Amino acid sequence: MAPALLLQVPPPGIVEGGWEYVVAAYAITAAGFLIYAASVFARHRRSEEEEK
Amino acid sequence: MILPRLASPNLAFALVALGVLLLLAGSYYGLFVSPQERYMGDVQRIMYVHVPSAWNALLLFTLAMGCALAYLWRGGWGWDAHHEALLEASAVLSFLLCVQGSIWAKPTWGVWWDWDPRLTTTAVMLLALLGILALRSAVDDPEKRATWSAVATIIAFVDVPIVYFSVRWWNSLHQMQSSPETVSAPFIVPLRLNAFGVLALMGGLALLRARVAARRTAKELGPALPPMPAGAALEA
Amino acid sequence: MNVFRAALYKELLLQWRTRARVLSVVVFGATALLLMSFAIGPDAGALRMHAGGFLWLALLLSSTLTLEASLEAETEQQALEGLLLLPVPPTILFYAKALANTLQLALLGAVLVPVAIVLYGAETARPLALFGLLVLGAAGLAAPGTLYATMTARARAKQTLLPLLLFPLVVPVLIAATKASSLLILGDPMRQLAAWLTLLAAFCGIYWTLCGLMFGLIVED
Repeated sequence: MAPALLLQVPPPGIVEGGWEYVVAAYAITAAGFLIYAASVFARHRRSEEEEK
Repeated sequence: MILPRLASPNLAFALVALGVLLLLAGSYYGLFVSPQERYMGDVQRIMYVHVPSAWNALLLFTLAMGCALAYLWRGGWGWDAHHEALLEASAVLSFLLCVQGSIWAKPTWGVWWDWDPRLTTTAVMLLALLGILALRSAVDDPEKRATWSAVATIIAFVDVPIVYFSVRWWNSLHQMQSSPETVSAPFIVPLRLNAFGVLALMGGLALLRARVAARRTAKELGPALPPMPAGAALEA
Repeated sequence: MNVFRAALYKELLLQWRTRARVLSVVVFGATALLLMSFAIGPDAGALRMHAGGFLWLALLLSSTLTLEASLEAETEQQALEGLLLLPVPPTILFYAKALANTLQLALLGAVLVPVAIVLYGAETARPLALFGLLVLGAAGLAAPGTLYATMTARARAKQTLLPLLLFPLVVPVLIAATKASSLLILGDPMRQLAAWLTLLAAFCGIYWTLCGLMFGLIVED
């Protein structure tokens, strides 16, 4: 391989790009919080109504 | 049974709202304000939600253990209700941790699961928490359910460090990962915001969940007869 | 001490009387060992390398059966409640039961080792060390296993509940026992065996103490 080509290869150990992983992690976490919050709210409301 | 003293739902709703605000601010900062990390690049941004989830999963599990101990020591249905709520909240966080951890592992090490001691311990912890929740749902007698699950929580909590160290030894041939830079201010701000955000959100939800648990237990125990002292056997 | 001996005798007698069932557990364990080789394929080297893990997985899967069985007799006709009426501290009952389960599991392991030797060529130059390891690993499974089985025997869905509670807990036992068995079978050039045995012993020490302390809470109403 020519030296010029070698220079274009990023140095090892550095992660390039990867925004799709970041977006996936935040989206899944947000979805998890939302679903759990909705389930707790629903169960709380039901138990509140049963009380009355 | 009289309902144990519980936090008012308004406090819980306020905590949830505060948590959402903090999480929005922290995630905005982490995604768009913080600079790229030197080695990890943008993938580093996963850490701003991953590390706070990890801290809080452990914190809530520890609090659940505290409630379990308090129930065994002092008694009181409030401890049991909060025990149940915290177990569930910490199971939710552990599940999210496993998902975030494997999303982090893919671009970093090229595999979805790399048997990192922390990630593996989280998976074991999640399964242990699900086991305790399953035990709770399989026991109908409230007193037995409370005592047995409290014992199971203490046993599982003691196991966490043992699992961590055994996985670490087991995996010691594997190179230790370098921790990403998280010391300078632009990295710390989103971590802190999200850490308190997750704490407020899950804490608020746990307070609401504890109310649900306490109501259900009250219904199972039936109305207490006023002249009888608490805990006296009514059937005998 | 006499009380403990009587309680242990009672447990061993119970196991002896249900020996037909113990035999079926042995067959179950041997079947599990056989099935695991199909997951690897007929590669003698690979099979020998994984023999330690297979042995402990087979033992772990079988342990839920023996643990459940050891508590089933107690919950039928409320025998446990009767036992608790005796002037015997529940801690003694726990240690007798856990010790009996340890012996049964260690024996089961000792029977499965020859099967593993035949199937995987898993000979070891140190059979005594392997037997000691079997006893230690069995003890690690038996203490939390006995405690959890006492709970799940009186709960709904007991067949799924015991593994659900026990398996995550005994991950360190599985790791340490598997590593130690592999070192005994494949050789130990780095002298790592002692470290894994120490881990196993520490797990046993912690859980034999903790479960003994907690057993009273589980059984008394």
